[in-house]
Amino acid sequence: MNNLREVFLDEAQDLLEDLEEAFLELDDDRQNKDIVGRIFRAVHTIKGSGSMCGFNNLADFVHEFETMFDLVRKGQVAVTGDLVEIGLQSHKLMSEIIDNDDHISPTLRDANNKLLERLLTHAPEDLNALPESLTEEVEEDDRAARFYRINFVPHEDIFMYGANPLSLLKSLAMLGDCSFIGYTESIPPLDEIDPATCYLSWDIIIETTELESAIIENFEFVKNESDLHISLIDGDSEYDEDYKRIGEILVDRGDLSKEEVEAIFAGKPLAGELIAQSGLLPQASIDAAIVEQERVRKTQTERKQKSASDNIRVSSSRIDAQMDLVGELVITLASLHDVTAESTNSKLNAIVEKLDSLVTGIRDNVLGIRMLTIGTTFSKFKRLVRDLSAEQNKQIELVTEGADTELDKTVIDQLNDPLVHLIRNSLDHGIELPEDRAEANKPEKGTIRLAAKHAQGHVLIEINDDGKGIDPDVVWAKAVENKITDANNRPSDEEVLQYIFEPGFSTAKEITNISGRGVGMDVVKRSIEALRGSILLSSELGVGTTFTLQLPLTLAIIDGLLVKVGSESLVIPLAMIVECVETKKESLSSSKGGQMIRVRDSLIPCIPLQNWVGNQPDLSEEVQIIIVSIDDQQYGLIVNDVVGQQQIVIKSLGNVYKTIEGVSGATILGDGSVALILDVPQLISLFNVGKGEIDVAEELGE
Amino acid sequence: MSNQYLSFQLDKFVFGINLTSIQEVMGQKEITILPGTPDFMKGVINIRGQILPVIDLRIKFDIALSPPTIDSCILIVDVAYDSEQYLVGLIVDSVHDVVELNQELIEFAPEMGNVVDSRFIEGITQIDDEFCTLLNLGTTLSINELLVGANTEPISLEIT
Repeated sequence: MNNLREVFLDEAQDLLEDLEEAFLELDDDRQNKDIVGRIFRAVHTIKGSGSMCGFNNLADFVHEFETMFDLVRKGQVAVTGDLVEIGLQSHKLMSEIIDNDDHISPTLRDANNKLLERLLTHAPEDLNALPESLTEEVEEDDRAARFYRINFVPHEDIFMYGANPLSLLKSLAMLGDCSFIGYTESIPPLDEIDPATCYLSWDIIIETTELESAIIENFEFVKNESDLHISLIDGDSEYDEDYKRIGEILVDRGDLSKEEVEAIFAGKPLAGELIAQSGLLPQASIDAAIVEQERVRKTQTERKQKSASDNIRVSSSRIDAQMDLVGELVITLASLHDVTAESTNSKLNAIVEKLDSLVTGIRDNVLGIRMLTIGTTFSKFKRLVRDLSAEQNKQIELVTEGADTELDKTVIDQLNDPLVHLIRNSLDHGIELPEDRAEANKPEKGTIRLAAKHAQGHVLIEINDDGKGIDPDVVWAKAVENKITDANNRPSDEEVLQYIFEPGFSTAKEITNISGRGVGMDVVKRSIEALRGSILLSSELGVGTTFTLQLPLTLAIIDGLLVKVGSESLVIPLAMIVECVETKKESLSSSKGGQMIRVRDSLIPCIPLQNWVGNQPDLSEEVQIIIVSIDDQQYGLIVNDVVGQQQIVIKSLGNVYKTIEGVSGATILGDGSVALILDVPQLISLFNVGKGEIDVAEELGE
Repeated sequence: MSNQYLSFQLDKFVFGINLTSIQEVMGQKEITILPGTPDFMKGVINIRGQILPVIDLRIKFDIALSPPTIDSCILIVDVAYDSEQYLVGLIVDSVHDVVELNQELIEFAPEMGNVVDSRFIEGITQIDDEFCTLLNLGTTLSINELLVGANTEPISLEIT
């Protein structure tokens, strides 16, 4: 049962997302029957699976919406803005009810009732005269579902095996909508009945989205105690026109031969009745055929040929587990490499090489499975933009591009908050009020464009608005005022703009509930950097602002450089490294801010990592300097030794270490020991590197 | 919670941890330093692919330090606190025994005079005429508690 609930929760999540999207689309295109149908189906499924899993409060609540959207679907109620609004609010309520595990708190119930009242104002007068055939109607719409004819004939002795056909039929009904036709003709007169004998058999027409195997599985326990025939009775193009006639169905089912049917039909029109009259078949068989005919005919009209989906649902925890195992495999392979490096056994080396390519293949494959499209995240923002722009009396349209761009699930999950922040920013600071826009000769409706695309092993995400842009002079004044920078030394406009990523910076003249508290952009930058990505800003006054995020495709495995600081192994992400320089300790030039190294006419400040690691012996004479680049500024990390480049499987350090600065994760080395992966920008900020000294360094270099 | 507790030694004091929280007991292991963390956080270890922090309870509880002996070992405990669940390794001097303690044998810790802060104590009992302090792992090893005393000073650029 718990399992069922989990599946439901999973499914409900998807359905709710779809529902929200559909409502938003409906708002733009109120005449679109397809969208109404989609809403109706989603609501219907939530209700159905919800009540099956004991979410009765949810089902009750959803039922009213289903009724209303049935009316909309039939054209009896028109789609209005208010109705869409109610829909969106009901969507929120539904997710709250689901989150609360179907427990409805008094406040929730209150909101619920209010919404229902509001909903009922849209209903036509004769609400009570609603058509009752709700479930029947759904089948018309459910395009992914297929019909199967199941002939289930339990053996007479089935009860002896402890099986109960009734419960099997009940569980079958959970797979989809069933029409049951029972064959009762073998039941003997009451006084002859043997209670341990099964006299019944059934024909079932089931409409289900499940595969045939699911149906077979349902009867798995009685497969030796019964005869089971399952056939797909629709979904093929040959039925595109009219569904088969009764006679054909009976032939198809093997109840009658073609000749027999033709003989009966000699010039007479009403097939079903005639066959019944002829007494050739029991009424039940004919009924079964008629039911089949009716059911399938109904769906024919609307059905589009759609190939059965090849997708399977796998919980992300299983993929994570798989990823962990692959990680272990990569690590084990690394230790195997360590061992065989000294070996001269060419056979062994050949095997190791082969293994290496296999493991790389598996790794890439698993990484591929973890890729998700960014579209789901995008569609969430439509809602955000819609709600917030209404709140601020702005007219804003969100345009999305590249919704099918794939990114690692972890990246997508962690990208949500920064994107919300950037979009809110565009909404609040970027797009002007309609009056102001009209004055500036812009269309009253502002546009925020959200675009994603792949580029050179990275994913680029652009958030672009056609608002008023950011004034570099304002930013500069603010930066000077907040003492973020030195007033006498103004860089180019483009560089000035980047100050908005500094902590404690906000140009909003007043604080709204959306943004303007000055805790925004630096957090965005930090979280993007935590994803090993970068963020760039460009803006033109009066034309608009563009944020460009560059993100790695995956967070699970990176290329890193393994270095030694004292006895400790550390990993520096290869993407940050410019070069490695070997030098003598005394050749570093000291200044008041620490050590500098001269590399090709420029002085680079050096960071002694051993001071951070602590508890290490003094540096030896020979040291290695790893030159890293952060925002065009170079730093040298002083380490004892460079071990080499490696594929690094990133292990999360979990919540316990969330606040530990300078470390973005850890990895397990070939020998089983742990090495920390450095978060270089954060690590450097831990050191006492002042801006002043760096400027000096640049001057000296020139 | 079961009635069984694992008792262990730290200096001259005996402590107990509910057996349900004990994942395993293992010998000394090489520990990777985790810079910038409080002194009692000795670093991280790898247990079958999982990376977990190791804490020196002597430092955490301000008990006189002594070099590790052959009996020193690491207890891997399962901490559930505030809907979070994580594994932590604890360095202890030696592990004694699993003891069965009925609830009536366990007394509340007095406000003062305890070996450790009373916040960390689940109860006090006596085993073989010796006082045994039963630890509350949730409070002792809560995430906030694990970060008490972390170094936030800027790090010097001087090299040695």
